This record gives sequence, C-alpha cells and structure tokens, in this order.
Amino acid sequence: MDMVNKKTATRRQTLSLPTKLYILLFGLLTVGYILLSFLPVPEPVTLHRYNLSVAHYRWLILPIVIFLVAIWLSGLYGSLKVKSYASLISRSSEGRALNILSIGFMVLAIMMPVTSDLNSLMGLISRHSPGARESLTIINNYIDLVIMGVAMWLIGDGAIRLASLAGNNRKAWSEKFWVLFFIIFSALYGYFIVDQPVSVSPQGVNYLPHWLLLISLVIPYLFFWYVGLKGAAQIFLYRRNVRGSLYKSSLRFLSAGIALVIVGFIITRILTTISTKLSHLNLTPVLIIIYGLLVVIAAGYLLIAVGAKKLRRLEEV
Amino acid sequence: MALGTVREQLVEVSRDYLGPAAERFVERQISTHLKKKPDNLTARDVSKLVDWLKLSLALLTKDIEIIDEYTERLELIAAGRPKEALSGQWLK
Repeated sequence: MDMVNKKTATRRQTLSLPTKLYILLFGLLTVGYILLSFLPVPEPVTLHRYNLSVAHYRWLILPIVIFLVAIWLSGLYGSLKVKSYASLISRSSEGRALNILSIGFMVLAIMMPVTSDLNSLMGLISRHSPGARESLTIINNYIDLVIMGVAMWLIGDGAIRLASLAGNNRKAWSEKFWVLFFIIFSALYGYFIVDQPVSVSPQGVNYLPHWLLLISLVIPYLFFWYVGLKGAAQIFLYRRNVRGSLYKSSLRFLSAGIALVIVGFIITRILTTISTKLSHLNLTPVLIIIYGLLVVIAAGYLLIAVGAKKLRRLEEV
Repeated sequence: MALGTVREQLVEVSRDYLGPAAERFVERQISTHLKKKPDNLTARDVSKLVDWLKLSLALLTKDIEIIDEYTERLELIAAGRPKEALSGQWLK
C-alpha cells in the first residue's frame, strides 16, 4: 500500500496564463473594493444620522467587507477547482463540456466583485455629480445583465453537452410543468418590476421607461435565468443517467453545488431588482435574506470544490 | 454480445463503478504500473493488471461491498469468464 501511495502521483498542474490573469483580475477587483470601502470619507449626513465618527463607521463596515470578500474567495476557489478538474480531462467529451461549465462559474464568481466595485464607484461619483446617477445606474444594470448572461449561457451550454453524453431521459410531463412554472414566474416578476411605488420617479429606480425596461432588461434576465436553471436541471439529469456508482457519488456534490450557486444568484438578483417593492418592509429581514443568499452561494461554490476534488481523485489514482 | 478484448472487458466492468473515468483509470494502471502502452497489453499482463486495478479501486472507496464485487468480476475476466463478469446480475 505504501508503494502504491508513493507511486500514486498527484499530478500538479501549473496554472494557464488565462487562469493566472483571471486570478490577478479577481485580486485587483477585491483590493479595489476594499479601498473603495475604506478610503473615501463617509457622507456627513450618514455619520450625523447614526451619530458615528469616521473611525466608528469604518469599524462597522469592516465585518461586512470581510464577509463579502470571504464569499467572493469561496467563489474563486470553487470555480478554479472545477476548472482544474476539467483541464485534467480536457481531451475527453465530458472534459470539454465541464470546461465550458467551469468558465461559466468563473464568470459568475467574478461578477460579485465587479458588481460591488461598480456600485461603490457609482456611489462615489454620484456624491460629487448627482446628475450622473441616472446614467450610471443604467450602465451598471446593463453590465450586470451582460455578465450574468454570459455566465448563464456558458453554464447552460456546458450542462446540455454533459447531459447529452449520458442520454436525456427527461419525462415529457416534467418539461411541461417546468415551462408552466417559468411562465407564471415570468409574469409575476414582470408585474413586480413595472409596478413601482408612486413615491419613486415615474420611470422607477431603473430610470428607464417600462417598455424599454421590459424589453432590454426583464426579458433578457428571464431568458438567461431560464438557461441557467435548465443547466442545473441538466446536470442533475446527467448525474441520474450516467454510469458509475463512485463517479455518481462524487458528482453529487458538484451537482448540488451548481444548483445552489445558480438558484442563489437568481434569487439575489430578483430581490435586488424588486427592492422598491420590498422597501415598505423592515430592512433587517430583507438584509438577512440577501446575506443568507450570499452564504448559500458560497456554500454552493464550496460544494463544487469538494465535488471537483472527489472527481479529480478518480483521475489521479 | 460482442465481448471485445480483455482490456475492453476490464474497462466495461470498471464503467459500472467509475463511469466516464473508467477507460482513463484502466489505461493509467497499464501505463503507470505495467509500464506499457494500453494497446500492448498481453495475456500475461492481465493478472498483474487485475491486482493493480483492485488495489487502486480500494484507494477510491471504503465500501467493502463495491471492492469485493469489483474484485470478483475482475477475477472472472482473468479466469477467462468474461460473460459472467459482464452480465447484468451485478447491477443493483
């Protein structure tokens, strides 16, 4: 057994240049967010309202920043682990599918610091140029849409390729139920988006007329969420149909993690886009839900990492 | 049922446990432990390969039932009884 263990080589892979650049970008965005959180002087109105000094304010936001950075790092870790596994089996059909999937999760992971940095920058610029808030909000919304769209598209594409390798034994009635569910969900989401409180500007906090909001943001989001959720379902199907008891057992963590990440991102996005609908609620439970969802996303990425590690083990022994 | 070469039979049995990773698993044992290319596997290598396959699978799972079942099926192939090893009786 010792001889086997010695001979069992854990193939250490060097990181490819694109992966190194990705990690560097991730690091820069994270450092950027930390600097944007602590360097600018907080608004005097905010300090006065809560009777805080600048130092007290910074101590207050420190745990939030640490919490957020920890969530992002779990996303980075999980997405890199699955990318590493995909690279190990890159010449196989499932390796190519997993590679596309892993790039989707890397995009989703980097979306978190990008969104936070943009929001922080937007807040900073708006303080000095209040008139810029409208344009910045619109730009910010479209950037979020593009990043999420790219991520969900890649995830959906990778998942379909993977599922096709094991045969798709999806029942027709479950497909119809799925479509019906999404139609109902889309109708309700569209209603909540356009049904803004009267106290907000006529165009809502998105600063867009309703028709443009629906066509350029709501419908694309719904489409990409559909693609992402279908991707999660395809992974589940792949796990159900593929051969190999040990392989399926390792895949369980990956498929659970994928589902948690996708659902977590979607629900977080829904809550932030209908935030004015929730404004009449007590802020505390809303914040708890959103932070809870971030923990779910982090847990999902960690499960993805565990699953990728177990699958990798099958390739190393 | 076309049974294929011994290597293909070993891969087919391994697929019930390792799925898509089975072929790579078997080929890795051949190249790492027998120091041969998979296509150069001979009848004399089979029993040694079976020993390595059993040992390596034991590193991947603590489930004694799976290890014992895999071992039994590999030994059937080594004994020239591939039909029994590949029959559906093993699929639970």
